[in-house]
Amino acid sequence: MSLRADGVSWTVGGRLVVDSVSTEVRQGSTVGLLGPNGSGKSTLLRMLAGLRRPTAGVVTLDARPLASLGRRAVARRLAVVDQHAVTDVDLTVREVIALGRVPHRRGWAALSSDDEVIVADAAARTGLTPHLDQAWRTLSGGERQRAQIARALAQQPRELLLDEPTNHLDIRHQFDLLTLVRALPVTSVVALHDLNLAAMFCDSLVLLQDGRAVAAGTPADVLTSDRIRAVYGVETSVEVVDGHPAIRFTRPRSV
Amino acid sequence: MTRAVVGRPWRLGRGLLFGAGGVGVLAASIAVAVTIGPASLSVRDVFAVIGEHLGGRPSGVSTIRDAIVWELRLPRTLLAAVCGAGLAVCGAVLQALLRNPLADPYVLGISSGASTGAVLVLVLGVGAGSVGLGVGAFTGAVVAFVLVLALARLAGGTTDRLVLAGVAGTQLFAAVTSFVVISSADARQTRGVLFWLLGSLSGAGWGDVTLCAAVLAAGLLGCAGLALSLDAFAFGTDAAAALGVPVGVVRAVLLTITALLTAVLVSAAGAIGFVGLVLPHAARALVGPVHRRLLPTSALVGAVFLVWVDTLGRTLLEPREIPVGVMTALIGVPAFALVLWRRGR
Amino acid sequence: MSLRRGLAAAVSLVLLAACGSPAAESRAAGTGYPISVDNCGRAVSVGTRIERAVSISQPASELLLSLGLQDRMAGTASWTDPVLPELADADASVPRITKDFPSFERLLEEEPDFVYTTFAYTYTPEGVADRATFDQVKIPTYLSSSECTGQDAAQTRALTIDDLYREITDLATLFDVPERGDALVASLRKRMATAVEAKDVTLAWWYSGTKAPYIAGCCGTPGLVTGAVGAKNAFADNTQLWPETGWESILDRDPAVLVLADLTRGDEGDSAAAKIAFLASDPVARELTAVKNKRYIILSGSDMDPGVRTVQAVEKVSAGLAKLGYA
Repeated sequence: MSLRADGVSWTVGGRLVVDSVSTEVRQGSTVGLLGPNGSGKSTLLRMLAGLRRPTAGVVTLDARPLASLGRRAVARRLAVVDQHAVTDVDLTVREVIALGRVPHRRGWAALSSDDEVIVADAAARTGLTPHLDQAWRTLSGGERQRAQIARALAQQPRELLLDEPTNHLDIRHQFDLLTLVRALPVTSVVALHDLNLAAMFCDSLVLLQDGRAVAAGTPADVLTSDRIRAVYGVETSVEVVDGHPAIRFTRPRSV
Repeated sequence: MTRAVVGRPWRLGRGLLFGAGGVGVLAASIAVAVTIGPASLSVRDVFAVIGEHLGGRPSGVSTIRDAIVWELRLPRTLLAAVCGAGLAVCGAVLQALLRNPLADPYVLGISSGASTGAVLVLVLGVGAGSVGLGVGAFTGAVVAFVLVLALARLAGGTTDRLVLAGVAGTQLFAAVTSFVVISSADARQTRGVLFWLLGSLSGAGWGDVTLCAAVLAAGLLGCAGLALSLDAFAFGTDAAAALGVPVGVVRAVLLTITALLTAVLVSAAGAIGFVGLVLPHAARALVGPVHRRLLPTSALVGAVFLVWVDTLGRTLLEPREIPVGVMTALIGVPAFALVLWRRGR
Repeated sequence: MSLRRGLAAAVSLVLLAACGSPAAESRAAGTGYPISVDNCGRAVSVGTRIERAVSISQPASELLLSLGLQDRMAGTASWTDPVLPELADADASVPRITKDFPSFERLLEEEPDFVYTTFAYTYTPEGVADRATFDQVKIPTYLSSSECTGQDAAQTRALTIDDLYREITDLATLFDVPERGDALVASLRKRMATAVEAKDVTLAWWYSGTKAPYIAGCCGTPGLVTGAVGAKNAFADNTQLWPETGWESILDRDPAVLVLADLTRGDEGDSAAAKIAFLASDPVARELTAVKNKRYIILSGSDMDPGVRTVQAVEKVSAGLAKLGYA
């Protein structure tokens, strides 16, 4: 069953940021959320994570409304990785990853040996084992993102929500990250900027424009040059290779 | 930035050892501080007096000297420990909660409000006679805190709004205090008010110690129970919520605990500065930012620090006393500069 | 007893003044001015006869009234206690500007031609204005030598009764009534001669405050009075005027007798009653020998400031010590 949004809307300051979006995330799949800036991707993601309550509609997890589940219960199921994690606190990588165990621990308890194994495992899967005792602040942008993903993994989620995780990474790391996400046995919802990355790594896509879902389906279905022109306002030519569309951007005539 | 104690996962045994060591240092500090003072008393006499009061045999010391140890030095030293611990813990909690390394227990207007309350009683004689200075201070502190919260709420209720509201509240009450002092107090009254505004442990009695210790214990337990939630705030309120922390509730509880604890401490000893700001950083340098270790360490470091600083303050210019708040500022400022420099590295 | 003497002194002063003024006036006609005295290292110069003097501080006011100068005063300010009974009528004829410190502008409204105070605080911007500002508006100012170095600065030398006599003489000179000054000094000397000679007794003088009480140091009026009665000051090693002192030191030195200031302000530890109540109930203070034996001497706050009341203070302390069996 997994995660599902039914006609969810979000209004703030009189503005309709997300307008009655419905989408269902199939178990184990990787869903990409696409749309230009201001299309409501982040807000939709936050509503799916239970961090914002929809002003209309409902988000359900396994057919139960998210709002009715306890905070802790949700955190043990669902992990969120933000665009840009910022902190002043001088945590080590190990401590950052260990934050993922917070929903599983009680107020004063120390990390159990099980917790430590889970942390080590998450670090291994994100290739951070040699950095465990390093200060998180000393890592590169890519490594920091990986640490956040490791933290999310430490939560042992079944759903993973990522808000533009590849933003400030170089190409190699963008690929590595999305490959990792795909390989994980979790259901993922990833908000993305890059159309080609979305096409390459996602099982299905939801395309947003002005808060409304204007298209949903496989990448090949969603990413046609007509649709890209309508939503993004740019000229492209799309070639489907191995079932996956490859988008080629046309150089604008005026340049 | 390296830590004094390496941040590998702590085993229970190691943690206990370190904690026991810390408590030992504190006990030793108190023991030494109690033997120091202008009256000439041998170490043996001091401990004989303490022993007698704890149920041992008579010390054979005159009643005056007995009073010096048991009614003056000991409660004062204990109050220094309690205030140091409480202010340091409140500072650590607020720095995490408000995600601001410059936060201290007074950031939400509590010390300003307490000063206003105290000054109204001291200078204007509000509540004449029946209302003691401490009660006035406590009332002022609580009023200021509630006002700051209300203001923050009006402005949106986010963390930055809370800090800004705290700044506004602090300024407002500081202005009221200044106005009352300037318009009503004569020169000597002004001196008296200043002594209180700077923080002073003179005249501490067992009543103050017991009350503050009780509130400290309750506050520590409350904050310790929320140690994990405090860790979760490291990456912001959304990240904390995503980790299952009921952000609104936790914030409300922690703000209330720190506000009440700070208000009680300020009412007993005035606004002792720098302890809540600098010592959590010192504690972090020792054991790292994870609150399960940081909170007890802050308490211990704060307690030991203030015991020594107060001892210095009452012996440097003896028989005069330098208000403890002056001492903490004199020592705290260079210490803070050191902290900032190390962070920059 | 001292009141009666004071009254006698005041009456004789008034008679003297009545006899004295015609002579003074004839002398003042054009000759003798400007009159100059040295004060705190600067020269104070009066160009014409002072007619509208303002005294700011109770001791200053009482000194001028003791010299019978009420008809040459435009106003008084800063009062803490009721005026000395023998000066009550004289005081009633002089308007009180304010009980506290007036603002500079308010003071100027009285068009003073001379300002006298015993508190250094008066000559600061927070008090009224500094002496340089007064110079700019050509108003001569006088400050009691007891506070030349400021209220709380460490005193460089101990106050003596001669300082008081000199101050009286200085003011009498400035007001051009030297014979009144001499008469007042003579009567005060006579009263000082009656001071007891107390043996083997230490005093501690407590002004106010209970957490960190203000206890007299060596060299102000309390020190002077203590010396005059032959006693010792328990805190003679401290050169500050009224340092805040820890209770431990007070207990350690355990003075035989406590001299308590009875202030009318109404703050913590101000009135003598409040002090005595505190001493009896505080677990630390009640161990003092003086408290256990209730050895207290009570003076009003102004008695502890340098001025004509110093002599009265000596009389009260003498009487108190005699009653307690020390003299």
